[in-house]
Amino acid sequence: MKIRFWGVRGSIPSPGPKTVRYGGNTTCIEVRSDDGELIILDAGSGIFPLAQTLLKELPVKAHVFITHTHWDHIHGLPFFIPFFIPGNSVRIHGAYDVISSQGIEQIMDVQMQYSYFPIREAELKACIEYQTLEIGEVVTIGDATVTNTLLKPFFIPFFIPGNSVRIHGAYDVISSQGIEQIMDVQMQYSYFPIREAELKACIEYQTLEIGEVVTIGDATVTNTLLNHPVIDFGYRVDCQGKSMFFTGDHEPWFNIYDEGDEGYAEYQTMVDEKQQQMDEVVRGVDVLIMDCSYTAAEYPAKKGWGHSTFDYAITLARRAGVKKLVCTHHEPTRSDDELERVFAEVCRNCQRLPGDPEILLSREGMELDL
Amino acid sequence: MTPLTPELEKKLMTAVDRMPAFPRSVQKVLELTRNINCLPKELVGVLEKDPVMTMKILKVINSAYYSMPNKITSMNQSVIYLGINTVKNLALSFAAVGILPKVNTAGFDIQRYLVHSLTTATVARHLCTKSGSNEIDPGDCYVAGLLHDFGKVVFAQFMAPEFCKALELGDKMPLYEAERQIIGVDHGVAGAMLAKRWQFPEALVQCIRDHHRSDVKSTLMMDCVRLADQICRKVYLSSEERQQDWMAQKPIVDRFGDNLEAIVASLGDFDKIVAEAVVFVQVESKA
Repeated sequence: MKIRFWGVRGSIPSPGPKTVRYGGNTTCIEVRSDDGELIILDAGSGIFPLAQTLLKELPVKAHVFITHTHWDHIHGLPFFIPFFIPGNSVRIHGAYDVISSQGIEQIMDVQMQYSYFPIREAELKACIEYQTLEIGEVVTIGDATVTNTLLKPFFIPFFIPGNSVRIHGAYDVISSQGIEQIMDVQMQYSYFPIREAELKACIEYQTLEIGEVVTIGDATVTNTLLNHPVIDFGYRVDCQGKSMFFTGDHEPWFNIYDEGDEGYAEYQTMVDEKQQQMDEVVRGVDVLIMDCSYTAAEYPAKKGWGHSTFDYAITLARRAGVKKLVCTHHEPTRSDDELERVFAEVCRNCQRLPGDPEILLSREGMELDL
Repeated sequence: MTPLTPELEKKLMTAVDRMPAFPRSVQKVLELTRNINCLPKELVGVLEKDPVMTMKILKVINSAYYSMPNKITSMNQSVIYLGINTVKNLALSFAAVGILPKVNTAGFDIQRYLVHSLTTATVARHLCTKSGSNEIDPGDCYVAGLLHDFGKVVFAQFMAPEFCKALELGDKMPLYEAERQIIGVDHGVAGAMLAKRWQFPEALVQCIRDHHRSDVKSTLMMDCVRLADQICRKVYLSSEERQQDWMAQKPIVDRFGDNLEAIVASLGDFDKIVAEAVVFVQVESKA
């Protein structure tokens, strides 16, 4: 199994001179099984540079696992270039959202409504003209005839400079709008038609059940429910005797009662049980990639925000017999220097014990070969 | 036992998503969630006292999606799994549905219902603890007590004309019999249908369904709820004469002895249990 980090930053991409060593892209981790199956954990902005490298190995067959749907874990998704190329196949896995009662495909739909606006305006390099047609009008172009049909707003030539595309379509008598207006509206809802009909890559969505095991070639992916303000899955990938676990975003469960409250003991039992369940899924992995947003000193002010500390991660890694702990989801405001300083302090304070896991910071471009 | 007709079942199923919660808990949820740092335990304290909110949270946590190995009845366990933020947002969405009117068109006294549900819940938990059995969790008995009459609110809210007739007829006979005559099923069957559809634990479904049936084999949970139900009816017996009648009753189940008054006395301060329920139910008037 190979693991490569394409995005290690939490919350928001943070490019600039101060984050150049560890990288400013948000969460995206590429996992390759020994047989070359491609598993992508989260689709933060790191998925874009990953996508570039995939263009060398078309057709792409990818499985994307979304830990949770906060922006920093999905905002690269519309820029996953393989979506636009015929012959590719992408399967997106993620949790069901109980607040909106929607599966992963609906969540992506909504995200993509917002996302395409700037692309239409700024990114498309092709020259695009609009022509409002009579209903049923047939247009002859050279030796071809075109009858009005479903629009193809994400027709790849749109993205390529120098191309010229003429769009023909009907006038809509209900909305009194020409084809250019209809295009506008369609772009907002863009991914439905594209997914179904336009994009030649085969895109599938899979809303996962808790604990559901997905087999991908020689690899299996198991999810477990962690603790974050939205449903967050941690994923464990096993492949030919090697294993890794990624938390996505996770905060240790904590007792909502104070010591002395009536419900304290009962709640603590449940907290312990839940932690125990997580420990079991993590147990013995070669690599644990874990949300370590905060130091122990920073945490009290951030309690309930859904992130862990270095110390919690180290304790968990020790308890679960993890071989290597990779700390990720770096605070967007932490510079490289600051990150290294904080990390050095954590390592100094944790008093290494024999049999301790190796502990390192995730860094864009870092590769682990298991 | 008459089963629900498909039409009635359909009617009730679609109704409950639109079911408003109780005024006091809606008010509290809105108040608490206005503060981003609201204490989770305070929120849980409100949710676990409102049958509608409890029902709706349990519906989410026990849905097929979570496929929990063990069915969940506790609010706290729901918080652990869903996370407090999700629970908070769910509570807000329930609050947004609106509030149950104090007395609705069926003439059903919603506050009285809530006091009865809350006291029955608390007493059922006490009884379970007292039984000394490890067979079931006292918390499960609490939830069973809280939800045992849920079918009544459903009737009152969505079958008001029929339920109104049943309430009238209920002066001459037990309400559940009046319901069976007028609606076709009693509130136990209606509440249990929903609980079953939402995949609540089977013991809870049974308890809601059969709490007015003497012909089924009772369980410890059902014994606790039935006896608590009987005890808590005392609260609304106004005249001295009726109080006397009540005291002369035999306990509906024999597990806890044969003297109703002695059982009540063994609960500690029953009046305090009632007073706390009344306080919770009262809606603070806006100054």
